[in-house]
Amino acid sequence: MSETVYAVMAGVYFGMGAYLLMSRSLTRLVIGLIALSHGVNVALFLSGGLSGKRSPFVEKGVVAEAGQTHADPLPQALILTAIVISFALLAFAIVIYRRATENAGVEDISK
Amino acid sequence: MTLLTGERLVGLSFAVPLIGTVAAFAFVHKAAALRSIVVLVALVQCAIAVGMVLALEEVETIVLSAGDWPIPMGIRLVADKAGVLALAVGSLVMLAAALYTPSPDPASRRGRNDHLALIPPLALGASGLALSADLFNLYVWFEVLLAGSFALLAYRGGPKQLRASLFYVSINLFASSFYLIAVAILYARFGTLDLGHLSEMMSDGRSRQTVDYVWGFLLVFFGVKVAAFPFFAWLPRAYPTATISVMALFSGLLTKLAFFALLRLWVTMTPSPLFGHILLWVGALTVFCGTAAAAMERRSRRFVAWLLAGEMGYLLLAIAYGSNDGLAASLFLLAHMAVAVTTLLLAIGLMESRGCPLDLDGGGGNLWRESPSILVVFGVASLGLAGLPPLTGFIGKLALLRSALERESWIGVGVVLLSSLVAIAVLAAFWLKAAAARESVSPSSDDGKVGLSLGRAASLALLLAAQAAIVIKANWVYGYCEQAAATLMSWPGLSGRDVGG
Repeated sequence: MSETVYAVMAGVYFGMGAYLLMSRSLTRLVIGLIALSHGVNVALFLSGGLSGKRSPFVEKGVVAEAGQTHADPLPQALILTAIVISFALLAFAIVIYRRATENAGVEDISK
Repeated sequence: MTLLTGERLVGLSFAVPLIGTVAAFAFVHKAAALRSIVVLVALVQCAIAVGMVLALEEVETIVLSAGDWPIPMGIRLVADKAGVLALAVGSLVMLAAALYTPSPDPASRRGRNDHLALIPPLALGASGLALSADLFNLYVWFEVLLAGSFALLAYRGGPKQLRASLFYVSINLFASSFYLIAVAILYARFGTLDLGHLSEMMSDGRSRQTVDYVWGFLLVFFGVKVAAFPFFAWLPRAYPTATISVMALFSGLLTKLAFFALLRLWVTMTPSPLFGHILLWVGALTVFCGTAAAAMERRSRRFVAWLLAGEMGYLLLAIAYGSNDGLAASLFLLAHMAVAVTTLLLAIGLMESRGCPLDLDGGGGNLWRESPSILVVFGVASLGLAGLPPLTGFIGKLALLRSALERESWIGVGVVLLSSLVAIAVLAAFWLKAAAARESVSPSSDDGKVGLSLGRAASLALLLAAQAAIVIKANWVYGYCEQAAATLMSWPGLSGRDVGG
């Protein structure tokens, strides 16, 4: 049930991001990029399974099966990497946006 | 040669660009040193690729497990013949672009070349894409390439470049989201991200639906990255705004490496035959629309950009035909197109710097009288790209046509022949325009250097020599492509069990 909610949430983020990405104002475009990466991160989060019952810590002497007996740590690594990458690219996009609006007077990307 | 084993070469192909990046950024303000460092990095990468070709004569694949972690926890780097081909061709293109960029004249304001410092990161991304065998790791290398290319695209900082760069950023980030969703679905279903392991798990055919579903997302991602129909409009908008050496670098490197990643995923995670049909139509439409749009362009840079987008369709057709001859043709065409497009664009850059604007609407270029040698280079480069015998394009397209005829795919045959004719016709029109007489010529160059210089001559000579080498040794090269295709399809020894270092 909660997986459906998360999936719908990812979809909403995605739709929001795609819609904003097509807007003419550069500010909204950048916000759209942010929303897009959020949606993707939620989707990656989902891929680890949402049982809510699996322990992330392995007791001493227990053999753990990621995703079955204990929580799966890998999706978190994937999300972290994706966040870092999209953060860096977003920073670059914002710098470009700043430079474009202030110095070059670009406001409308469709021109 | 025992000092440089295959595994060490794979490690070196990552270490050298990393060290090169640090060195390049340390010397970013000393133009001559920067240029030497970047050229050295590209040269060493080429040498590493050659070394790997030699190492691959004994083994079929070189496998490196990062940190010796077993599958499915670890990330594997696999060097097989196809990957090394992509790496070698990419390094060659980077070397040519690095050689072409002139050292800036200290007296003039124009012609800074610190954007060369971004080439080693591109080399790192290229190594990663060519050698990685992990789904998420591929994404990381895609983004490394992307980050470098964003900065390179926006380098000159004028409004055109900034707009093009933002546009390029947006569409690529949008596409990357599709890839990540595909990764999420695959991980949720299979619990592993290693390509060999995934391929093994998918081979029993029980998860056909999931694989097809995932390929829906992957096709969008690769459609944008490879500039396929209908996602190719970004290429002619973004690429022509950069400096010519950057445009040449992008054209020869980015889409080709993205196509190589598509090839990698296509053979390991083969979808149902429906996607083969889709790819066939996408490829045919890409060639058709790309060439049609190219024929309508009056300015040379946008013309070449559209031509480039169209040519990627050949690669998609070759994949769609599948099996050994189709994949071998696609690998050969990959090598051909990377070299040929870079040569053509650098030749155009040379002509632009001589004041010949290559605009079909403007005046002539006066090159027939002034510097016929540049005209000859442009002619050879055009014929090479368009595919006239005996140049590389002809061999590649012949291989593609043979695959098409064997499968009686008349659409493919018709589209390839028609587009080649159109390409030759429009290139000839540009050539004639460049040769036409004109009284006064005003040289202009975005690198600040006019005319032929040692670096430019060296880079063009290198590329033309590479094309000549491919032609002279065509049998060997095509045989290599066939072996590479065979390895790609079987990837021996790369099951879910750990292979080790």
